[in-house]
Amino acid sequence: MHLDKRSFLKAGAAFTFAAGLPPFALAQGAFAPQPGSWRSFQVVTKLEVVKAEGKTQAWIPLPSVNEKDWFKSEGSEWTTNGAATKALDPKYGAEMLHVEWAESEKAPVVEVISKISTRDRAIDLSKAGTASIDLTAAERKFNTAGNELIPVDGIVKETSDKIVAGKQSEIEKVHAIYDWMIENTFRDAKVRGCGVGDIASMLKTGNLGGKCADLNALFVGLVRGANIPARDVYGIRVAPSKFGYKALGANSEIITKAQHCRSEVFLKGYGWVATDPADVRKVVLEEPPTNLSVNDPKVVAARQTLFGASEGNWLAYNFAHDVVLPGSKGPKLGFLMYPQAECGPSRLDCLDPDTFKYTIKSKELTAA
Amino acid sequence: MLVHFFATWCEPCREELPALNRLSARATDTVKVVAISVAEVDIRVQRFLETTPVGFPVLLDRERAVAREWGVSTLPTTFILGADLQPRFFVEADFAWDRIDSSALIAMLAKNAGEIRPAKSVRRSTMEE
Repeated sequence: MHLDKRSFLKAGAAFTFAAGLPPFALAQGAFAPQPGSWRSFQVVTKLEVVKAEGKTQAWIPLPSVNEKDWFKSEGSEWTTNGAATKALDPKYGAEMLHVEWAESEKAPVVEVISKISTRDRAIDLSKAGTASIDLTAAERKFNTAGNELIPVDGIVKETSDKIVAGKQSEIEKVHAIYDWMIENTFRDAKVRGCGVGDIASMLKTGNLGGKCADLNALFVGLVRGANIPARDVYGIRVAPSKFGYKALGANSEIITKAQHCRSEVFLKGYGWVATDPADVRKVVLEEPPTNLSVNDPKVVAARQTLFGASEGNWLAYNFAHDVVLPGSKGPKLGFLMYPQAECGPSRLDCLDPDTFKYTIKSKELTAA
Repeated sequence: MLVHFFATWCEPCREELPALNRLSARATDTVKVVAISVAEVDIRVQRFLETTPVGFPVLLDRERAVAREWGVSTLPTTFILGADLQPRFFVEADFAWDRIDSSALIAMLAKNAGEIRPAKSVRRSTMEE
């Protein structure tokens, strides 16, 4: 067996160099989200099963997150030619609409209209944290525990220990992991082979490229490996970035493919802090003219900002993992961020437009 | 017997499967292949096999339970079992199965017949000798 062993501890030098570069000047001003006015959005999800055979069911994630400083889920309504009930994942509180259609229904359809309000969030981590909020022991245990997608022992713990070695404070440790993610999570063409879907196999194979759910799951796992609470937040972008980043917003009213997973860490004295190393990598890969250097001013600005702040142009569905779909005969989901459906005993391919058609549209109800 | 773990979304897996199919076809009396799709919806695997048909069984490990039991962390991974169905070797990478001499493979496995050994990982070069 031959695996391309990677150097896991590339950090420091590139970041130091980057810190000496002039700030990136966006036409819209500095990339500096700040809590301000709330923005309200209406998001419409319409799902159709094109070749319904046997008993058909669908599950559609509903906005379930409520965080007083930055996000309010304001309810959902729906119309369907099936029977719909709102279901709740008991462990994470993730809400979903479960729709069942009779076998005789050959054109199953459901439309869900959800309303949310959101705003930018930002915490100044250069100032001492004075917030008196803390997690209970149970909450701390819940948000440092492993799950099927995110084990926190074995190679995950070993890697986390190496990254945070010598760091003292929680902020230093989390920032070291954040920097490690940005420096190391790229697709290496020399690495053949793929992981089996969990973060341990990502580390074992050295295949550290992936989408937001993969990368932020790895980040959360490494932070939990350092015994610091962290969680993924699964959602979807609902508006363009006000700061000019094409890669960090939904650039049309059709947001069907704009799903995005963010992450948070809990720091004593500060509470839950927004972090998004996956989006920094997205800026590297996709911000025009694409394939930017990690030292590009756009990347440097994103890197600085997305540790502690996030823009209010995104809908938060839930924090859930290992989701059991009620009534399903299929396996648990690693996360619930996309509509799901089954015809008879078979789960449909949610990425196959020939059988499973859905559109998601976003409309802002109040201006920023 | 070859027990082959793969996923249709994994590019090296897609490239390797036809070669594994050719090995299975030319060594049909001596080498049996079973493929296991890891954590995929059934219909995606079915669609893939319509365009890339194979002559051996393809099983569905929907919840990764089998992959976990076998310690699989990389796709593709192939376990080579002896006649006693004990794992003898495994390959944690895509492999050039077109270059395998099935008689030599059987002879190599027969050398270890009756012995219980832990499965060894193999470099590609070792398998091709």
